Amino acid sequence: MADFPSSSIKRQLSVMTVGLLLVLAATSYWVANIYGQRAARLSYDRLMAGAALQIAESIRMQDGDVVVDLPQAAFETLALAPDDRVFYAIKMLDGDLITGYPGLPKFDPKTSKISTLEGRGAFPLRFFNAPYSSEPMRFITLTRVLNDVGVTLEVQLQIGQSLRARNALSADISWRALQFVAFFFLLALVLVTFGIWMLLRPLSQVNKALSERSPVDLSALDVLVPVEVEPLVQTINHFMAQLATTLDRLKRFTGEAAHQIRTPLAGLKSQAQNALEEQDPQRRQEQLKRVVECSDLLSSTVSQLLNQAKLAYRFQSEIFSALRLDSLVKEVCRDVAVAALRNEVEVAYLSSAQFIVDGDGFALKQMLRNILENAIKYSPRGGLVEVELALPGWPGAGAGAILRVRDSGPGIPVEERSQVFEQFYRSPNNPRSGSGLGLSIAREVALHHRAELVLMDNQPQGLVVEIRFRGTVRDEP
Amino acid sequence: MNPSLIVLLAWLTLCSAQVQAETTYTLPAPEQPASALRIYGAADYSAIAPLFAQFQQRNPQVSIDYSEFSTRVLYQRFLLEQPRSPDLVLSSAMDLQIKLVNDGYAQEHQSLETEVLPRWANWRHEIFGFTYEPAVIAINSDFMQGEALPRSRSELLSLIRRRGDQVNGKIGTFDIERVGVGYLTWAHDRQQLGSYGRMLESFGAHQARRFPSSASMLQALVRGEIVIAYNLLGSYALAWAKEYPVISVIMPEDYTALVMRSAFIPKRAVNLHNARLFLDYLLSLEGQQLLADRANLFPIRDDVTGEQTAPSLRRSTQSRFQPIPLGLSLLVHTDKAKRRLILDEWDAAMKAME
Amino acid sequence: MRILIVEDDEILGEAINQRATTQGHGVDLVTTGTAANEILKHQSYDLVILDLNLPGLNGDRVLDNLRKRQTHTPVLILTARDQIEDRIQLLDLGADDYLTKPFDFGELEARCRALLRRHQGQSQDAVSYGNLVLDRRACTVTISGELVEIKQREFRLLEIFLGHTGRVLSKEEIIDHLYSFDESPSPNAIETYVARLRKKLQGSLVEIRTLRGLGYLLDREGG
Repeated sequence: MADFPSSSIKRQLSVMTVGLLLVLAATSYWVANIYGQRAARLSYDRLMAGAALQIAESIRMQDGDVVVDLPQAAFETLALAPDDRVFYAIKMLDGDLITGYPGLPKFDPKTSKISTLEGRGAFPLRFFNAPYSSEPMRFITLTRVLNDVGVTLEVQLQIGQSLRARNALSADISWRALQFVAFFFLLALVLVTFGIWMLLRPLSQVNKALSERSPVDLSALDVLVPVEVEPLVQTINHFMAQLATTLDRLKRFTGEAAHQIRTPLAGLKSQAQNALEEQDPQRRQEQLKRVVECSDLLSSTVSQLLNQAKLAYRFQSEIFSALRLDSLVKEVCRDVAVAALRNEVEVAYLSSAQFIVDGDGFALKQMLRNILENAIKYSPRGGLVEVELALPGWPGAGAGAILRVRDSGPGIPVEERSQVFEQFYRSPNNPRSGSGLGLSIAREVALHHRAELVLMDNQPQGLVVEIRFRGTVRDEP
Repeated sequence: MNPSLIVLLAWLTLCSAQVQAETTYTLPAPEQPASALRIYGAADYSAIAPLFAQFQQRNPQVSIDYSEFSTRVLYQRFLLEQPRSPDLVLSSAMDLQIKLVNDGYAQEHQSLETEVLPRWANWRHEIFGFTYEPAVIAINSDFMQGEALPRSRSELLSLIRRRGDQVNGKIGTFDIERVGVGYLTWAHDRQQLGSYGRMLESFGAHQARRFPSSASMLQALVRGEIVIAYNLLGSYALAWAKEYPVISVIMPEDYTALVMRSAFIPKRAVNLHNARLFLDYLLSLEGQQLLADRANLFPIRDDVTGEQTAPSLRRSTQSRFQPIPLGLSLLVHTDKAKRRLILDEWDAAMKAME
Repeated sequence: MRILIVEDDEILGEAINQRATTQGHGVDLVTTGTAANEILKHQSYDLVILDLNLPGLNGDRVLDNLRKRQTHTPVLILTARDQIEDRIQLLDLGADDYLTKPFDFGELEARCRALLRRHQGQSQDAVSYGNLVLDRRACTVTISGELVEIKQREFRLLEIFLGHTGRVLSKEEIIDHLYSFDESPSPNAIETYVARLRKKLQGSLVEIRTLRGLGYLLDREGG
């Protein structure tokens, strides 16, 4: 993730889960607070309602007068909020105070907060909050209708109580909620930590399994892992299998290369030793010629090996650039043409088209040189090697570009064609074969350029090597 | 005769004569510079004077102004003088004190000394009971003529019924209209007593007399002007009974109400620090012990030693003590309509027999 | 000719030494870069054959020092490295030619000859190839001593070929050498000139070969 450069999954998981837990904890604490306030309000509202009803019951008419005999019990009920102050008033509907405190605040929908209206039997109750006597207060009002002979009076009762007990209760509920939330937060944290550890254990198991094995052990990992980690293990196994194949190939290559270098060296040495002791100048001359031949072969094998190594390195690091394929081909042709002429083989370039190809110039030259040198080597004296670049749209050119190298040599039998590209392959029918690396390198280069290397018969005789470039060609004359 | 008792008796006689008058005692600070402490109290000066003396010894830079009122007057004066305010208010009229606190005239005070108080002697950390008084019945034992003393209110009522003619005009109780503590105990009886109606009727039928103070009641009792004194303050009754064996003090077994003297620091107190100092001293073991030893008052603290203490009082009788808690429910007794109702009931009962 | 061979491999150095000595050259062989540097300060040679990978002072440093002394002795580099960048760097340093190990003695001799000829060509007016001699000052061409009548353009063309023996020259290269930027002859014009020159060279041991699609090569008959 972009926010966590080079960070660990463990830390990301931890940060996310802890964040989530914090949000959850904060939310539940907030909800608990609201709940606590509501619970405290409801509890003490009920007490106030009880007290108000008791007082309302004690209001009666006697001889046309309103008589109030405040019940002690009502105040005992209110005293259940032990430290709260209480104010009360009993008024006629016209505002005349019968008893209690004058000037209690009236319900005002604009300024009074948290008001509730409860129809409770004969006495509809209204609760509201308003400040009084320099303290916020909860008020309850109710109206009682008094009936006497021929008179009906409405009396209003109002009780106010300070909020200490309510606040204490809601604080208590909040505190308990906080303890509860904190407990579960810690519990969840422990569980999540454990969970993360459990989740990541397969990864560390894979790690352990890898670090414990010997460096040459490239067998598949056998670790039981969850589905999500399975691809990782598969990739590791796939990679190790590839590595094993590569190592295997390298082993075979080393063996073959050793053979290819040591054999001519041995020949070289024995011929040279023979020449040292040979008395007959005629024979010594022949032996020394062999020495030179062996050296040539050795030299070309080593060159090819070094080329191959260099190419392998270039394939890893070189970036393709746009190249004029036609110029590149002509350049290689001119390079080999002089040597070919010495062997009385003529090299001819038959196209005039221009091509741009994305590729590695060094590698492509190496490929061409190998193919051309091969063609020249097998051409008879007075033979002709024709090089041709076919354009797209030309008959037989297909979608890409085709480079053809035609010779009039012995050709390669169909059954051998799949093998000649292998490293160190040497035809049993061909005593003049070289290092056995040239065509193999050519094919590697072709593959690297997503080109196809095809061998065909030439008419009336000889070999045609076709390199079919596809996709990388741009026709930009 | 105990010298302190003589002082007490003398003072009681004095203040019975001028119940509503204000008397101010000024105790200059023994040392300078001085700061003041103004106290309004309904407690007798002579009872509290030793406390003042001791307090000043400990805090020599405090001068004390002590103004003494009857409880209702104190209440009215306090309200009338607002926003001027004394630094401390002491009164035995719990209901009036509670009303002042409820109405927001007191301020909070918390200290080590207030922590020791029982729950029912501390409301909102603003008002604190510092002594209590059982409301008792005193009977002239000559009148009993060897009969067993009544142990409860119902036995008292049957005694009155049995000897109706002899008690006519000879039952005494507080003038509930004027004496705060009288009204309080009577209203408490009205609330608690199942036979309140019968008692009211009985008091009315026998023309109960109203007295302005416990002392005047006891005086009349000694003189034989009355034979039964109802709901007078226990500390006075017990002190007199010691001196005059003719007086028998009864703590009714059905219940014996305990009223408290209480103190609060007004919100607008000027000498707040001194007020706090004195209040703490009043509630301290030393102050409480002093109240028990020198003023014959029952201290609120249980750890005070001596005869005049709650534990010894409890040991001496099988009565059920019922403290009237210093709390919100006292507010009911300050209700104007309620007061009117009770006074009307009383008057009606008295008039019924005229 | 006086030749200095700088080669740390004694077998190879000795082989070159022998070969050159048998051909009648005066040869000095040193095996370290430091020794080469010293000897080059005091002695002048007609040709230096220089190995790159040397103990002490490296070959390219020796070359650099030589050129800093404004000495124009032709230098042939022997290298095992064959990457293009290396070669360009060497030519920039002032090497005249290079040869990648392992090499053929025939190739080495040919290169040495070409270098010596080129060097002499700068100081001498006549260049010879086979039985052909081109005299710059006189603007004459002789085959086996016989004067050949030759036009200005054909003379210039032959001069270009002689400067690039053993190499296939494309028509474009020839045009680049033969014409100024303002002129834009068609490749057909080159064909015409080559055909005329070829006619003039009949009877000599030198021939101009056409490689289809690739260009021309000045070659001695019989390789």
